[in-house]
Parts: sequence; structure tokens; C-alpha cells
Amino acid sequence: MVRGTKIINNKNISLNKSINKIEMPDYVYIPLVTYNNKKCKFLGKIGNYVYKGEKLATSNDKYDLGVYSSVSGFIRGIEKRIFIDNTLVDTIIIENDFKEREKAKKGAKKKINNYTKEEVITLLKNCGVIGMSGTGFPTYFKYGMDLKIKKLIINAVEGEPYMTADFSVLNSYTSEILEAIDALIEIFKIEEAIIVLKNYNQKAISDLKEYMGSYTKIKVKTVKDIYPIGYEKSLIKALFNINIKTNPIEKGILVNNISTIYDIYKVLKYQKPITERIMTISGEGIKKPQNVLVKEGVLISEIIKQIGGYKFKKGLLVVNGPMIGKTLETDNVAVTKQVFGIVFLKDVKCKIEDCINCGKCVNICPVRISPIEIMKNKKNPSKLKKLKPEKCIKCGLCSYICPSNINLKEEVIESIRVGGD
Amino acid sequence: MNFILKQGPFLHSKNNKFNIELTLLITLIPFVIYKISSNLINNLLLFIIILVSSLLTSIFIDYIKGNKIKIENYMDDIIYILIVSFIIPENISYLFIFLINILISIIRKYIKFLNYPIVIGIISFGFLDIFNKSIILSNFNLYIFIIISIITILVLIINKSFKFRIALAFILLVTIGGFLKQDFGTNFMFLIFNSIYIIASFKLTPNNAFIQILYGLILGVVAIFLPIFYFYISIILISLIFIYVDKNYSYYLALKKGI
Repeated sequence: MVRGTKIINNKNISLNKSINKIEMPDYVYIPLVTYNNKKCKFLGKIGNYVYKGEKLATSNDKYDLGVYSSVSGFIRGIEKRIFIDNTLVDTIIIENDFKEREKAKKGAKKKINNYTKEEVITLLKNCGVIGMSGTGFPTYFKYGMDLKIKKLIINAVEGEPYMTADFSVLNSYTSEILEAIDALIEIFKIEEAIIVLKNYNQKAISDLKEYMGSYTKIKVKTVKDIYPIGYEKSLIKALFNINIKTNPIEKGILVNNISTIYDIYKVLKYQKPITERIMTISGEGIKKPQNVLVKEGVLISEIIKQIGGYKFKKGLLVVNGPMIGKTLETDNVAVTKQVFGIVFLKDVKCKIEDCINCGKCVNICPVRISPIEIMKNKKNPSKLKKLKPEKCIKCGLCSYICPSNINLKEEVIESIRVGGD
Repeated sequence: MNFILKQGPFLHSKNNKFNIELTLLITLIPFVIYKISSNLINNLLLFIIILVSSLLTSIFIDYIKGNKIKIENYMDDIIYILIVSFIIPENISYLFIFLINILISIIRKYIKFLNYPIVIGIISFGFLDIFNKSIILSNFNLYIFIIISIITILVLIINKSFKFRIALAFILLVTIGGFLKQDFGTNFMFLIFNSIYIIASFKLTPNNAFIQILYGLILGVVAIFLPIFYFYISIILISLIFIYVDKNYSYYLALKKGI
């Protein structure tokens, strides 16, 4: 049985609203970092003109990921700016000329299944397609692992409260998504693809079922509305009742987020780097919660200004949802492709009390570690080693469920740090 | 704009400590009303004596210590008062009850380990063994008691206010025992009440689901075969053993790979 619980979701405040395109600003700010916050090497020169989609930097690691310009214009400088994790990182400042010039214009492909495996992998790499669920893991790496893909799982579960970006992508681009899945099935000779949704998303389920007659290898399955069922291994367990101990691809299962599939569609269709994404701007502190299409490098302050602004002046500005996300000290921070949502919430003070030994954290942890025991043994390295805090997936469910309001997630993260010292 | 830096998650379950204790407290009220109604003057007087002696002592100690006096700080005391009010024998000296409760309240305030399940265990053991008194009500009606118990268990399960796995495993075995012994009388009632408020309470009980079930089953076996006054001593000893087992089971689960 998959562990988890139904949590407050607050999705209805931004659900079923059309996707609003954010107007281009005068300047965009592209951080020189990629997956796992790896710093990148700048390839251009200050003052140079850059085209939209032009590669600006490279990660110089085994993933060899690129950083791309989301607009055309002039590079005005590189300065240290606050990144989405509150650290200072080198950031390229581009003055937008609003011409959206591209270096080499390629027409849209009529048939997106007309590629070889190698061509797709190269395209995914060169167009900077990454996991859109916040991890930013390079998608080409998954497809290029030289292992037979038997099942492709398309994760449309979107477990994080307030977030509806994936729902809106699925609802707005159903046919494009199915076309991309079909192409992947054909190119990679995948046995079947399963689109997984939570059972309450009835509109998307009925929309998808209308197409199912044309796509015989694509199935739609629903899972219980519990958190964190969207976590890759939990999802696989919920679908096939198998316990994945290593990388799912070793069992022939590849999991992609629904927004990643939509990016794959765009890449196969237009062969252009991905420089924008759909994200949710929500929370009780946002005047008009909605899903927006934003270019990489646009400041959060600019996005929120364009959609109507904040409701109150003091609160928590959280990047990537209230369960796994982090607060920002300023909204003068540029969004990246890893940002699937921003919420502005009231700062609700919770009194932290002594543990009452209810055991809720122990019985709910999806990876079966004991957060309370880890907290109690934080200064006892031998016991800590046995309790395996490093297995934590940082879903935050232990802190959410704790009746004493103990932030167990942070205690576990702290104990990982202590253990590593 | 003022953006506050804070560590997440930024949502919390509404089932907090106060709500859990409030649910426990509310579910105890029917038991106490039932007891009082069975012998109105005597049991009402007993209840008032227990309430005054325990709660006022607790508040007085906090006042001396300079602690804030808030209702949420006394939930544990009120639960204790309600449980004791139900299980206390009917024919016992009021002065003795008054003095013993003051003493217990003082001890509980300074020795946190002596939480209410242990204290109640010791009290009940004392009353049964030393005074050879009956805890059972004079006008006991098993059917009314079973109805109250079932409603209570359902409310507590829905509100997740006790370790239901322990309670259910225990009740299952005790009921089987009841069938085998052809005895569903007062002892049975007393054991069911214990399972809800004492052995399935959060305090001094194992946390892992599997160990909770084992704990409930073993206590059920003990309850069937041992005389009731030895049962309390067994709870304390078995719970200490199971807490140790529970910790080691956590190590075992952590070692397992995957989900």
C-alpha cells in the first residue's frame, strides 16, 4: 500500500481559468545555473546581441546542459542576483528588443514521429528539455540510458496544494500531448503509455477518453487523492504494486511530468529550445490567482504586477508550492523552468509543542523512516546511521501531520547535514 | 512589501494537539455522565472532589512557578480527572480521594514520565488490590456501556485521537476471550474502557503500525489470562518492552529500500 494522506489542496482558486500570457519585460535575468544548482560557464560576451533560444552558457558536467536566452536583445551584463533558493548566483541581464528574433527559423514539422531515437535524444538535449515537476532533471538523460523502455508513465497527478499548472496544460493541450506520447511510443518502441491523474480531475479524464479510440497504446489511469502519490516511486507502486529500489528505468519504466511531455511536443514540432513555461500563481495573498505562460528570466514582481498584484503587504512568498517549496526574501527574483508555481500566503503562527508520541509521522512517511526518532537521535551518530535520514524525499508530510507542529522535515534535513559532517 | 523567510511546509493538518485532546475529553463525558447518573449524589460529589483537588492543585503549582494559566495547558489534567471519575470505586472515603488526588497532581507536575495512563494504572491497581474494592458501577448496564463505547471508538478513529490499531487488536482478543469464557460482564466493560483510554493512548505506546497491532494482541492475551489487577502492572512492563522493540523495528524499516 502506498503511504500518504489527503491534504488541504486549495486548487479550486486557480483551476479551470484560461492561461494568461505574461507580457515581455524590458529586461530578462537568466541565472547561470542548471540541474542541481550546478554553475554554468558563460559562452558569450557582454554587449553582444543574442537571439531568442540562443545558448548562453553550458553546465560543463556529465549532463552538459545549456542555458538559453528567452528573448532577443543585448547582453547588458552579469551580476550576482538572488536565485530561487535565496542564494546569490551569477545572472545574465539581457535587454529585450521585443523583436523575438531567432537565429535559424525552422518550420513546424508536420509529423513529429519522423525521428530516430538518437535524433530525439539530441534534440531534447540541445533544446534544454528538463523535468518540469521542480527537479529539473535533464529529460534526454532518461531517454538516453540505453535501456529498453517498456512503459511510459505520464505524471499528471500534481500533488502540491494550490498548483494547477499541469491540469491547465493537460486541459488546454490534450491533442498535442497525445500526439507527443504517440510519437515517443513509436520512436522508442514503448509497449504502452499511461497518463495518471487523480480521480477527482473528471474533466481531463473525460477529455482524454474521447481521444482514446485513436491511440490504442495510451491508457488513462486514476490514483487516489493522497499526497505525495505524485512522487515517482509512489506512483509506480500505486499503479503496478511493485517496489522500485533503484532507478525506475532499470525496470523499463520511464516517468515524465505532463508539462515535460508538452515541452517534448514543442521540441519535436518546432525544434526550438524551451525558454518558457506555464506556472501557477496562487494563494490567498494573490488578487487574481491563475495559471500564466512566462518566459524564463522574468522577475516574480513583474508577473504578479501584471496579474493584479498582492492582496496584503506581509506574507510568505513561496516558490514551488507550500509543501516542498521555499520562501523568498524578495520578489525581485527571476523565474526559471524549474518554477512550477508561486504562492503568496499569510504567515500563520503555529505554537510548537512537545512531541505527544502519536506516531503519525512514523506511519505516514512514504519512505518508511521514523522522523521523530531521527529528531531525538540527531546527536547520536550511531543511531542516526541506522535510521537512514538520507532516504527522506522532503515531501513535508511529517511536518504537515504533526499535531505538535514540530517541523520534522527540517529536523530530518538538519540530521542529514549533521550526519554528513 | 514584507516577505517573511520561514522553513516549510507552510500548511498544517487541522488535527493538532489541542483538537486531539478536546476529542478525547468530549468522548469521556458520556462515560462520566453515565456513572454519575447511576448513583447521582455520591458519584457527583466524587466527581467534584476529584475535579477540585486535581485541577486546583495543578493550577496552583503553575501559579507558583509563574507559568501561564491557559485552558490548553490543562487538557491532560481534565482527561485524567474524567478517567479517574469513571473508574474510581463508589464506596470510598471522600477525604482520601481528595488528599490522594492532590498528592498525585503534585507528583505528575514534577515527574513528566508519570503521565495519566501510568498514574491511572497505579491507582486502579492500588484500589483493586490494596483496598479490594470494586471499580464496577452498582447499576451497571452492559448494553448502554457498549453503545457508548462503540460511538466513542468511532469518534476517536475519525478524529485520529488514539492509536486505533492497538485498541482494535486488543478488543478483538478480549472479545474472543469473552466468548471462550462465556463472560461479558463487568470485567469485559472495564477492559474495553482501558483499551480506549489507557493502552491505546499516545503515551508510552509503540508507534509503528505493525508493532501497535502486536502490542494490542499481546495485551489482549494478558487480559484474558491474568487477573485484572495484575493487568495494569503488565501494561507498564509490556509497553516498555514494546517501545524498545518499536525502535528496533524503525531501524529495520529504514533499512528497506524503495517505498
